[in-house]
Amino acid sequence: MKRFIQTILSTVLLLFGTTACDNLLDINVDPGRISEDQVTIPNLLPSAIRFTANVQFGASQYGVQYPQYLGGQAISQYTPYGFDQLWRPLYTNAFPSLQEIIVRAEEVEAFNYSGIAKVLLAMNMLTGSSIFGDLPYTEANQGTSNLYPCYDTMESLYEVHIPELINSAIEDLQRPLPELPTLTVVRNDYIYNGDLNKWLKAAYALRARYHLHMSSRNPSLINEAANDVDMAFTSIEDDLQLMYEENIQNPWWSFLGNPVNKIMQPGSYITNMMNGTAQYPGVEDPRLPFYMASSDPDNFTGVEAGRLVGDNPDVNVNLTADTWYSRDIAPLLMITYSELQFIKAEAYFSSNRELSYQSYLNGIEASLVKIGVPNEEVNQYLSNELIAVGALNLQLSDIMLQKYISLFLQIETWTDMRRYQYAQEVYPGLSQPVINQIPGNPWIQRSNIADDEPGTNTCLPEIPNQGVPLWLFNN
Amino acid sequence: MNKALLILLLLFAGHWQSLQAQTTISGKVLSSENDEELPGVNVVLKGTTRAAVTDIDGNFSISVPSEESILQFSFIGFRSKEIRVGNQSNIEVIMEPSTEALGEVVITAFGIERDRKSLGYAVQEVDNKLITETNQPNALNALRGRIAGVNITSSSGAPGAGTNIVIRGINSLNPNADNQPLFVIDGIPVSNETNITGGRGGANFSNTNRAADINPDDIESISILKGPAASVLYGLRAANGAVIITTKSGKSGKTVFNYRTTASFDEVGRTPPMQQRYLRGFNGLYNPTDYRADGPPVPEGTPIYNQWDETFRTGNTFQNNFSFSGGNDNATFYGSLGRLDQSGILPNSNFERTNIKIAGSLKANDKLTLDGAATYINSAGVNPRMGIGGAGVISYASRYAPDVNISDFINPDGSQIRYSTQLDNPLYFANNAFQEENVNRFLGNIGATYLINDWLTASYRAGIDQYVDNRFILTSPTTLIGAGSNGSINEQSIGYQEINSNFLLTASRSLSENINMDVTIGNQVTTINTTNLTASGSNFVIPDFWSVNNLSQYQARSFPTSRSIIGVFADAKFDYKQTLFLNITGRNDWSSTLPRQNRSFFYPSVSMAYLFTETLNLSSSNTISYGKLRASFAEVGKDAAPYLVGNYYSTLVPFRGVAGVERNSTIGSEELRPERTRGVEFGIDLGLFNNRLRLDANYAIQTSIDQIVPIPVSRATGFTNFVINAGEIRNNIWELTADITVVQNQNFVWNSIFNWSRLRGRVLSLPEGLDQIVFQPESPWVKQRVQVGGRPGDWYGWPMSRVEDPNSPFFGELVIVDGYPDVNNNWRGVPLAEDSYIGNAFPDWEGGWNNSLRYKNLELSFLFTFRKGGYVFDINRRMRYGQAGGEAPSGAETELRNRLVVFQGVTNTGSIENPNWVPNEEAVPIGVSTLYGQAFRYRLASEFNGFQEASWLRLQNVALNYTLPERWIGRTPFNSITASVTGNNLWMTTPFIGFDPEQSAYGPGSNVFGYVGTNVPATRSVFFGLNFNF
Repeated sequence: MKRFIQTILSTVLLLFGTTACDNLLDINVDPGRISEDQVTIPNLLPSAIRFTANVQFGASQYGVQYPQYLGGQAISQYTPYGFDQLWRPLYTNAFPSLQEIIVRAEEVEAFNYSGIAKVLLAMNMLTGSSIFGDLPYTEANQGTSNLYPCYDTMESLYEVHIPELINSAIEDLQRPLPELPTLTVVRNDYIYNGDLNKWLKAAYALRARYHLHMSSRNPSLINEAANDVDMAFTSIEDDLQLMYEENIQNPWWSFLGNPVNKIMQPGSYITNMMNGTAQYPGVEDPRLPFYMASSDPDNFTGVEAGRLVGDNPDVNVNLTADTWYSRDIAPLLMITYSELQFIKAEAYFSSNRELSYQSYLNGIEASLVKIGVPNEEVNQYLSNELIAVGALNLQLSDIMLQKYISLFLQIETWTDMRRYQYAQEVYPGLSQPVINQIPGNPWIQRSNIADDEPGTNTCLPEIPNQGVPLWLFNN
Repeated sequence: MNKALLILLLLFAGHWQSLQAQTTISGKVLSSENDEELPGVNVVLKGTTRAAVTDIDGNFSISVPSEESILQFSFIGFRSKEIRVGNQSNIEVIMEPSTEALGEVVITAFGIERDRKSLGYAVQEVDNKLITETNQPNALNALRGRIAGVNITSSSGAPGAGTNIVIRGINSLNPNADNQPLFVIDGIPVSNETNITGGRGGANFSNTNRAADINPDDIESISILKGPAASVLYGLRAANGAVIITTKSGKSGKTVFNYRTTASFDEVGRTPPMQQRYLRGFNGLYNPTDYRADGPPVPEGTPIYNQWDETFRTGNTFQNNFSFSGGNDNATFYGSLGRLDQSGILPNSNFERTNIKIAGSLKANDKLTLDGAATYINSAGVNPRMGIGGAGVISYASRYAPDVNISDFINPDGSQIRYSTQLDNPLYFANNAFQEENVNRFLGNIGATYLINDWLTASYRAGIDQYVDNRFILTSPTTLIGAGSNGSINEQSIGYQEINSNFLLTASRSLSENINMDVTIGNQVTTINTTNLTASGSNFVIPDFWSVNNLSQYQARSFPTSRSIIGVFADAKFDYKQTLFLNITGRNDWSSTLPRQNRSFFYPSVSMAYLFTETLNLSSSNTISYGKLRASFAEVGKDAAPYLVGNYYSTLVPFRGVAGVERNSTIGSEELRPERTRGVEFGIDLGLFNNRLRLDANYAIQTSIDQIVPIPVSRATGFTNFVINAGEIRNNIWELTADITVVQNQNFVWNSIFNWSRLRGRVLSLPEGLDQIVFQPESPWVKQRVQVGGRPGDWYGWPMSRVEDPNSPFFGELVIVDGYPDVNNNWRGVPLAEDSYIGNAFPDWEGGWNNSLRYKNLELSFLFTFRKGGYVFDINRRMRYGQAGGEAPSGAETELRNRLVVFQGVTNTGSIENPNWVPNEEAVPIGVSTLYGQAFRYRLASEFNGFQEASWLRLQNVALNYTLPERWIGRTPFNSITASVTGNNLWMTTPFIGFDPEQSAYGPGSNVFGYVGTNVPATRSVFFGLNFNF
């Protein structure tokens, strides 16, 4: 009613003064949204953590068909895929929020917040670059001042920017706490509840993963990875993971775990590895029923790589609301203690077989305990002769297969596979998809260019087809 | 600005201040044909709203301020006349019948009535009869095919579905722009918003455009102001043209009652073919749970279903309208009550509307006339979920295997029978994923006209349009799309309030014997306030309890907006000897939505009309009885939507008790300027053979510059869209109308109106650095994108390869590789990444041909509409061919499969550089693994992914009316009784395979055209009606 009168009056008032008009016209501020100066760092952190989980899940969502954890979609046949589920949350959500935390926090010397944000940003860039290769970084997130951000090469990301970020995070996390009482304690931290010590371990864990990647180009760096592992997580309690809740469910539940949506199914490679019919003949992995459900409890049959859901009526396995990773209230794993132990096992495989073997066993145990396999079965499995092969008999493939099982549904495994270029000696029994849409039938090596980019960005690098190895794996 | 207006006011007031006494003039109006008295003739004191109507004997009386006063006489079927009062106190007026179908007086901006002959731009008008005779619940649909240069398409066959109207082509590159004209009812702008669920890109529900709230029976006439010259006075909101609706008002004299009732039967129009040969399964093997219909051939005796027959049912529409009108010389009154009940062709779809309208006028004294009108509308409906993503009733039905009975979908425990984990049953889905809507709307206006002196009139009008649109959107946890969140509900309350205040001061003077002048200055203030309150969430506590209260996770969101526009304008008209007309206008707007420094903007217009038949003295000629040339130039500015400038943050849905904020992904330039649309228009208007043939030709060039566009930017900028001024589109429009009185005698009249228009858009520039804008949804097979030099609506994709060498005897033949058709010239190494131009979404030309015949008491009219060209992407066809995601062929439409086929075409036995073409003779099987599943072949060709030409010729409407002879009803209280039968969309011919290609996948107000096949298909309907007048 007020505005009604204002409108009508302004016709009259128009003749006498400008105030009425200005009142009527100066209204272009959105009352329903927050302005930049009202935002605080503790407001941004929880969003940034959730976005980071979206990036990590997004990378895996369809991408885990490449390491053959799941199958059944055309992507498993190597049809062009631009990892939109990774690209979009990375650049529209995670990158801007994390960088904003870093900028705002450094301004007020809240290095506790900037350290956390740097760990997460570095992890996202590492995942992104290991998939896309070249990515915008130094020119990214500059808004309207740079509408066509050029890409940094994978080489410069790996050689310069990512290590800088991680090292800077390690530095920040050890600096004095901010004096501002509102910022002294990190609030709204879903992952470690503000425990900077754990964040510091996570930074080393990330650096271990990074050094492992880099060892592909510079084998000596694998020792750095081993050293980082010793500074990182000491138990599964330290795992970098985001726990979901009943109302905002774990994304694997929403995608495949719920009772209805089953557009992908566990692949035959992982299923056979665990059901005792392939690499571990006669050994039924106690993790199998935690990983997937079968309509026939005595028989787990996965989908062959390159086959679509429904092609083979014998396939009987699924992720369900009861399987461990796809429950509604379940953590999304990002970096685990188990992974670090396998990094260590791999690092010492040539130099210290005994230590390597011990780490291998630690990794397996952590993986079983993590998902709740009863102690008795853990011990039984660990003492099986195909598992407890002994330090002398330990093969690289033992480590990598167990790491493969432990990192179920994590895209990090794809990097492992490409580091070894899908070698049969490392991944025995791994075969190419039955239908391969890339000319020349190569193994899949990288993401296609993100679908959104052509047409919006004029500064694009030349992206070869998905069968051409990335810089990191091109030796 | 206040000063400018003040000075103008003083100028006018100071110069010609005079006051004169009122005198009363009486008279009689006769027809020239037979000297009979004419009752019901409108007599208006020119430049005012003071009016009288002749009585049954043709008599009238009206008070006039001076001898200089001019009286205007108008009556349907007769030429309007203007008479200067002079010193007469009793006037006899003789009116000549007009053979023109459309009245000589047309309504222009701000309800100003003007002689058609004086207009320097094109205006087309449609009267009540044509609107109600089609029986369309949405009055806009009645205009289809009747107005040159205006494209009207119904978005779906769902009850209450919105209708899209685009005048003279797309003016905006903005994918979020609506391109809809301004709607004005009785001088007051009203909302024709379509609040598309899910925003402008939303395609899930058949949302209603708010003009559909208007009761067609209340409409007296609709006048379409096409170009900027016609609509410029309405300012920025009319940059896409204006639809001026005049509603019925009371007429003095005997009180007249009218009751009209109709009932209709609606059934689905065209449906696409579905294969009936193969069972569920894959690769020839039967699998009752497979979502694909690629199993073994149907064994004999197996029941087979036509899924369309199972999905659709017969809908009904019932319309009842009662109105009354009457009054005396000092006061008039009109009242109406309307009710519409419609049930759709899908289960769980309906629409109902109740309208109550009152209007009255009061002559307070000789100088002051007051009038007002108020309308209450309730419209409500339910529609099931559709959508382009595959989760929709039509999408599911189109993928059902022929051996599954859709109607058998409920288990004894009430749960759904779902034969495949990838498909919901369409009928179950319709009842478990839908939107319910309920709109309560009030429209009111009140006005006053004051005669300051004999040549100066002031008028003021204020109006309000207010509605609340309550929505309830349900996605049950038992549906495939609802399962991921364990069910979701969205309850939304959308409020809209628009207040307009118009002040006009009009001066009418004869400057000399030959020159007349009309000058209007005015002020318009508009404020629009909207509210949008949503309570939404997911995770049902009780599986089948449908309420927001049943959600364990929910949130509330509120997004109010406010927008104000202040305009001042002046409009000066001059005529020389009623032969040469000149009209100059200027308007300045101040808009709240632009940055302060850019929010004031001015735009002018000039138009001229020249009646060359007057100069050449041809008006008595039988061959060329009327001839007019016209030309105009105009510019209209346009502001932005509220809150586009700058950047904001929003909170996220709480997670583990913490909300968190995020930066929004759209950022607006702080330097936004108003958009501008410039139009130049030339036309000729001819009346030949005693006006038995009227021709109207028009050529217009319309250019939109400085468009406000949220250009998609690389996500690596941290944003998805940047709102700036960028881009330029030019539209060239040809419009032709021919109006022919084929036969006219005592008993039989046959009138035929033909209209045709051709529109070409051209993108002249895009934002710097951007070489194309891709419209959603982009599928790799068919995508729409605009680029410089291209046209809006250009399609790109992977066409089948053809021989391109014009010298080859095989020019144009399909290129066959290994027995199968090649795609996108892949045979010579063109990668799929390089799309090729494959067609345009807009027709080359379109039009309509209407005939009305009257023999004694019997009237028949029929309207054909046609369009040539216009390619569409039939999303549904892609689903019928393959799975929604395109990965796997489900093949609901592929009858050819498992047969050996020799594709007609040529194969290359030479090199790529020097091809040697020989006819293809290789027979190849059409099968899942051999063809549909293969990239680079057949399956990826645009032609096989639903890309088709959608030319058509259709019988839009047929109406048969019979007025009962007077001797039958002589003793009843009725003045007249009319019975009618009407058919809509009864017949069409088109090369298109599928549902009616007119139904857009996106709702009205969407800027994405040419995507079809996922919405409720168009219906074919027959109406029976009775009209009582007493």
